[in-house]
Amino acid sequence: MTMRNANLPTLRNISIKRKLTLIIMAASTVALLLISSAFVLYELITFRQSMTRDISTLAEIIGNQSTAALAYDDRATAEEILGALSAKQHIVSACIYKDGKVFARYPKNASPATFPLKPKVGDPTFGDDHLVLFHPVMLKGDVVGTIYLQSDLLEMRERLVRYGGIILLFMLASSLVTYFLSALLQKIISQPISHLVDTAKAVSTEKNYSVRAVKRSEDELGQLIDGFNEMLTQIQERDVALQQAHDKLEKRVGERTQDLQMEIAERRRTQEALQQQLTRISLLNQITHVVSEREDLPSILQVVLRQLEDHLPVDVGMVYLLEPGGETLSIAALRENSPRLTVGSHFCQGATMSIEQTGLGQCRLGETVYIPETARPQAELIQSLSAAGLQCAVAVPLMVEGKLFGILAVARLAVKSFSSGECEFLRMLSQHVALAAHQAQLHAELGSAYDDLRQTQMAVMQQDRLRALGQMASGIAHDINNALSPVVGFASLLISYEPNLSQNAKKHLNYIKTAGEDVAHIVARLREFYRQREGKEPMFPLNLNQLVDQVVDMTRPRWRDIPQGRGITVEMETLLAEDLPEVVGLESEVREAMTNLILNAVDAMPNGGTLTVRTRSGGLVAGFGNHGDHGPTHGILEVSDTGTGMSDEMLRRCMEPFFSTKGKRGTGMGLAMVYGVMERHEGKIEIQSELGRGTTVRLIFPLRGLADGDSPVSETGKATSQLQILCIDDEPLLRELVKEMLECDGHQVQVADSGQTGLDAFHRAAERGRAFDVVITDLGMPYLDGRQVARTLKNESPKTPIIMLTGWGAFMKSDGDVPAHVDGILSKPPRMNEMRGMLTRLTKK
Amino acid sequence: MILKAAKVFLISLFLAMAANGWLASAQETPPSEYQVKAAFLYNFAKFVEWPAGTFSATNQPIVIGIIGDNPFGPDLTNPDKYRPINGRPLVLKQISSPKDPELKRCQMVFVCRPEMKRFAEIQETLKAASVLTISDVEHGSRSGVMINFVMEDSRVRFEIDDGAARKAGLKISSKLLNLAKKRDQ
Repeated sequence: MTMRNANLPTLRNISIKRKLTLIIMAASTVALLLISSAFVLYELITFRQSMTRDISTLAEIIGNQSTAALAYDDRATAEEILGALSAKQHIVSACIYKDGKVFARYPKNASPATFPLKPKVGDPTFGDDHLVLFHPVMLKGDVVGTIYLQSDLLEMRERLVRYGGIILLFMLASSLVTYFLSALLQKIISQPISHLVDTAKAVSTEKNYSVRAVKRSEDELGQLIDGFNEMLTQIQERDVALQQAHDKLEKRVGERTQDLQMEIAERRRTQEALQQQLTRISLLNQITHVVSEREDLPSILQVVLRQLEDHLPVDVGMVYLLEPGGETLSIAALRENSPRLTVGSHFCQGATMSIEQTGLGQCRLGETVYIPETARPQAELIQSLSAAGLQCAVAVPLMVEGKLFGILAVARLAVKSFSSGECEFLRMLSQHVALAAHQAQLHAELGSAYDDLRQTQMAVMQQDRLRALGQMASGIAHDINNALSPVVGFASLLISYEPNLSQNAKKHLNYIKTAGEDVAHIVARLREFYRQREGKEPMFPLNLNQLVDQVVDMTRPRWRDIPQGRGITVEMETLLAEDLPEVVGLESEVREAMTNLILNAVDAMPNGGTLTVRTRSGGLVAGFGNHGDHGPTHGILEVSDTGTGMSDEMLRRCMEPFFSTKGKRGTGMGLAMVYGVMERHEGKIEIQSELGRGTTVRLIFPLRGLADGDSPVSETGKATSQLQILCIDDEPLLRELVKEMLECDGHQVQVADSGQTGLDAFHRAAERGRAFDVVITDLGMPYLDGRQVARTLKNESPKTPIIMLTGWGAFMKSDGDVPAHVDGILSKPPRMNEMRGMLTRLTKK
Repeated sequence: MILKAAKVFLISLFLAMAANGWLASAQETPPSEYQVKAAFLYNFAKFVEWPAGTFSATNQPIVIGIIGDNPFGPDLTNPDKYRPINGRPLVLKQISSPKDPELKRCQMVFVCRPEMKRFAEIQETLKAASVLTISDVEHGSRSGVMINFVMEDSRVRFEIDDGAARKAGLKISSKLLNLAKKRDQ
């Protein structure tokens, strides 16, 4: 296989000339070889046949001659006969068998081993180098022996060698002749082919299609050359056509390429523009996004400027906001870290400038102002920019609902460096920023509205709570008034009518009376929780110093005794101004407020400390020790402690009702009450506090004259006339008190313990002709209450004045719900002078 | 294994028997003088041509007349040992007197040694008859006998008087003549 692979290509690749020679040579040689071998084969066969024949004949002859020798067992004769074989030089050995044994041999001295032991029967057989024959010797039809002949094949070999030589010689000769013949003959075929090849080569190397092959014969080669030439012609024609087409195509391609290049350039430009657009949109989006995360205008503006500076980018950015007047602009935001912007009066936070100065008047109309070169002399602002090295600037208006509220201005160092796209972008951005700003504003407004609403709601809730509390409180007040009436009433009776009282007892009785009245006041004030006071309580001049003494005295157990019991010392210091003018107010309320402040101060000093109460007068403006030239305008009461103090949060909320830091001990009403008191007195509260240092509360009362309505009811002396008075009350103590009080004035008093008995007594008296001049009745009574009693009495005797004495008194008076048929209302606890005044007023008519 | 061993054994047994047979035949006693002479006699018939018309039929036997005591025994007529020649069996005929006319009807006549004294008579009787005469004397041929057995180095040989045979019209093969002992003349 390898041989084949190696040879085939070379065989294939040799020239046709050679191939033809080779073919002819091969064909002739093969033919010769075939003929020769057939001949040799034939010769060989015939030779073998003749050899067989010869040797058989020889055996026959020798056999015939040796019959007698055999018959008479004459070996010598037999061997003599065999000796004749020496004439035949190819007979190597021979022998005669008699009775199956070697009888005579040739050559005589041949060893017995040369011969087969026993004779065989059969045709002559060829061995490798010999021919063997057994031939029977017949005598008169009987086999008397067998002849064995062995011939070498040298003759045949010689003959073969000879033949070989002859054939070789002959073949050499014939090859030579054939070679020369073929060399001559192959030209008939190879020459036109090589000519064709040369032509083809010439065509292909020189690309010259005008060359033609020469035709020399009319056979297939001739046709081939014809075809080749024709092909060349066609190619030539096609070449021309192709060249033309190619040229045309080239031209078209050129044109198209140019078009495409233009198109590509166009597209690239578009793409770049689009890319820029996209970048700006994403920047816009980014800015909008960060803006949307912010709610206050300054931070929105800051973040916008920062984004612009980082991403557009610009060298300087600022935002002007229109001042309320609409003519001036102030810088609301500025990227102050802009290194290029020299710090000047024009460029700092809050710097103001009129619109004319900025030269951005067109922004008012919603137009973008583009200043490609700031170097040209222009408005003041632009010149400043130019001075700062900023060559190019753009200003866009910030407008909401068609109204300018600000201007966004950006600037760069390079001249004419803002493209129209960037201007457009800034314009769009300005709209977004304006919107965001507007929204921030709206958001702020909404926030404050919401806060207001919440506060209102809180107040309403508070009011409701207070109303409920007030209703409960008024019930309690009623009962307290009832209970308090005897205390106050009898104390005042004692003071007024007991002649032998010691000074001390008188003083103590006065305390009792005052304290009782204060309680009544406190109870009366409970209604403040749910209802504004209508009209003003009569105010009286007050000596604050005197009040301070009283309160300090009264609260002594709280600031001295109780803390001392726990081992704590609270120092009380009172600094009272000697020349303090009197203020106008309600003694009980002021006293209450003062008490509250002192108790608070004590509570704020769980580890002891100094409590200072000061009074002084103040000037026009609420200040400290600010004595103006106009003389004192305010009386000031100050309570200071050295206690725990309050945090800002606490300070802010301490006035709120129910706000307390004292846990369950506090009601949260103390300071709220004080506040209410000061409101009613048209005064002010100032609180200073510092955590760990202590608190100072300052009550500032205005100094003013007494209002007309505030004139105290003049104390009338004893009633001139004695009156028949009916007193109806289910409370025995009260009945008794009223009776005694009236009797002290000389009136005749009859009491009744219920509405019905009262009516009965009234009827009886009328029947007797001694009708009652005045009826005093309680309001709340079982079965028949004060209103019904009053109605009945008025029906029967309209002229008789009816006074209602009730624990609700203060409420009824102020609420204006005085029942019909009642001429006057007295509050419990009944006061002597009030009662006298009422009686005098009613009986005068 | 057993089968193979048996095979080997059988083959060796067979070989031994064959060798035995061969040895037995080799040790056969060499043939006696007259047995050899009988074979010679038989072979003479093969190398001698009788004149045409001697045999009337193709299977007519070759008659060998014996004058004197038969020294060959009955072997010659044993067809197994001496097969018929050209279809003619051998027949022995005892001839008592040289004058016996039967003599002429023989093809071959063996004259025993003692009867040679009377050979002249026998010659007389066989005058003009084509009968091969054979004798067994020291100098038989001189007396006109055609073939005479002689002993040479204890080997049986024979002499031929071709002239006598030709006279009697018998043709003796040259091959036989080549084998005959040359007469010492």
